[in-house]
Amino acid sequence: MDVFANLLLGFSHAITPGTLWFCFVGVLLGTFIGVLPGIGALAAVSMLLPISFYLEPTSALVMLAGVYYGAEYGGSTASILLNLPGTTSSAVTCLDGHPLARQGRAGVALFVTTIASFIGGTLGIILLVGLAPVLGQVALSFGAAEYFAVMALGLVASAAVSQGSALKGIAMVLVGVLLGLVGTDPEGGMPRFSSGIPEIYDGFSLVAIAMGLFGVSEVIASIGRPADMLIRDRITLRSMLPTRDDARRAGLPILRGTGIGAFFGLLPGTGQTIAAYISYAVEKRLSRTPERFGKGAIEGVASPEASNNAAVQTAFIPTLTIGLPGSASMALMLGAMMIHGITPGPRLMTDYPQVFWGLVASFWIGNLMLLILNIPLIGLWVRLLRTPYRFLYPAILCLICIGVYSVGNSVFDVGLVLLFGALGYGMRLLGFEPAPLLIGFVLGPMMEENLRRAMQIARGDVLRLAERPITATILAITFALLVWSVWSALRNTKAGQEQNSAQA
Amino acid sequence: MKVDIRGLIGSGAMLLFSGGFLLASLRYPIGTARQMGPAYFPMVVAGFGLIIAVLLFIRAIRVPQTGGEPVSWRPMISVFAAIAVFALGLATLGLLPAVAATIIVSALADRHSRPLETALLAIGFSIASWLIFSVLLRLPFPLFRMPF
Repeated sequence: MDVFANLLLGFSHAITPGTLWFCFVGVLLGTFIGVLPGIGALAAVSMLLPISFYLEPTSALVMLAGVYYGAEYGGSTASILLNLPGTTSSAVTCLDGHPLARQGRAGVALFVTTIASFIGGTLGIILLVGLAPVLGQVALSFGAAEYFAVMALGLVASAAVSQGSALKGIAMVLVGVLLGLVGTDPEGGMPRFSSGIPEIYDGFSLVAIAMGLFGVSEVIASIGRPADMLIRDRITLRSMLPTRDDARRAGLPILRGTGIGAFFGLLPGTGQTIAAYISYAVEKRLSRTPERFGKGAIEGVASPEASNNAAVQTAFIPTLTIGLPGSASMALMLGAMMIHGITPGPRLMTDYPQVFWGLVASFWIGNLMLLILNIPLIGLWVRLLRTPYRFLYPAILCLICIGVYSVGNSVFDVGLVLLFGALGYGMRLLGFEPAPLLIGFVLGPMMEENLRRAMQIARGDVLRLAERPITATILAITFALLVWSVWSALRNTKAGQEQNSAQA
Repeated sequence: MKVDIRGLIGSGAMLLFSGGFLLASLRYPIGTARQMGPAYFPMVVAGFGLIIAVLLFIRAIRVPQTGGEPVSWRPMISVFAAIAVFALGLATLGLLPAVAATIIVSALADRHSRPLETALLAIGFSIASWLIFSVLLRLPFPLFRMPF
């Protein structure tokens, strides 16, 4: 069977000392960043992006991916112990994880979230192995018009589901696309919107934008936030073991969470955060004792954690096979791949099978490492959480600055971080989400290129763009989603108010 | 009557941003739908941006929303100052002084910071960043530099 030959190839590339080392570094740093409240996976990946330029592509991608899914494991630790989400997708874990810690059952909560994460992650990887070749086959028949349509759908979907109003999401996508167009026009070679500044003839630095929007503004918002550390004693292995009752309660929710997460990871625009919230809601609805939720129900931590880790893995499917990132972190991964000269898409699997399958195999090895990092070594992370934030954020800020500078040895880029940091914090205050902006920034130039090519083929006739049924369908869905989200943003005043109070 | 100040600022910023791009793209050739010039796609996107700005304005008037996160002035100003200090320090004095200065300025953001702790952190992290970036990763940083 092909699958086994592919997996064998993957593992033979993943189990080399170099790759194992970078996988370990990635998941270790990912857990570290995930545990720290305030900075999430996106800031972590963008901080390591500059260092990855000095590695060969496979090692670099293995490390960056490890940071990304490692942060998902670590995120729940801060949620449970501090009631502060380490990453946005583990915010829902606070709801029942922190009450469990208050009851003195923090160890059990940490153990169950790690096991749930591992099961969710592993099943997500299995799905990735099965589905990627199929989707890759479909994507091979894609022309410029299909790519344009798929990207448009991804952008509209990411705007429609962003927290806050869909109008603001669309605004951010458009801002991102416009920022992405700054620099030399790929077809005519004419510099655009660069106002004569040679540093931006190649466009804005992706690292500077990501660090400014996510890193700097998150640091500002987290300074001075009070933390409520519950755990005074050491967490022993014995205290982590769940009772038979816990295991019975957590079993099915983990599987349901995995299913929900795998589905939402695949969809463009949605991601691990939405997946976690929906699986929490589903568990509460299905439960015979919904009143236990919010007071320390083990299902309430097991299902969302399985869900967000499954979503993290399946999110790689559209990114790697079509080249369509569904979330901001995936957009950043896509940017990282392109910087390394690897264009994700259907050709990746056929032209660089060792990169593709090696990466997939490393995911599972990384998940295995995370199991060890998060159960026997949990005490390390608990100690890290006891470190006051005032010792950590100056160092984080320095790492951001050094990282951005080292990409192109350019002080100008450090200035850009300042600019985008100001933009990011301003957006945060006005209730605009940065994630759709980053997706627009990465997809914008690719969309323009495909639209131009498609319009040449269609001889300038917009209607001929939608000649093939698949293109017509995707464009119709995109249009319907756009109209619906604008309509509901303007109409549904009540939901708007609720979202507003939820954000506040 | 409630006035949604944040909503109005948001729609105004969107209006300026999209309008700016629309005006700037007028300087480049538009081309035709079949042979798009460098200005074609940006103009369409900026045009959508203007429509969204107007819709945001309508929404802010019809459904005024209040509240939202308060501005943390002190962290904001010191973090931005710290980044600026890093950029200037690196360009004039080199990496190690720049790192130390960035730590000190950014520590001002938190009112609980103590001078001695901050000094130790600045020295410690300068040495750590020298070890990590120059010795271990061999990145070409100017460690010290004479300003004149």
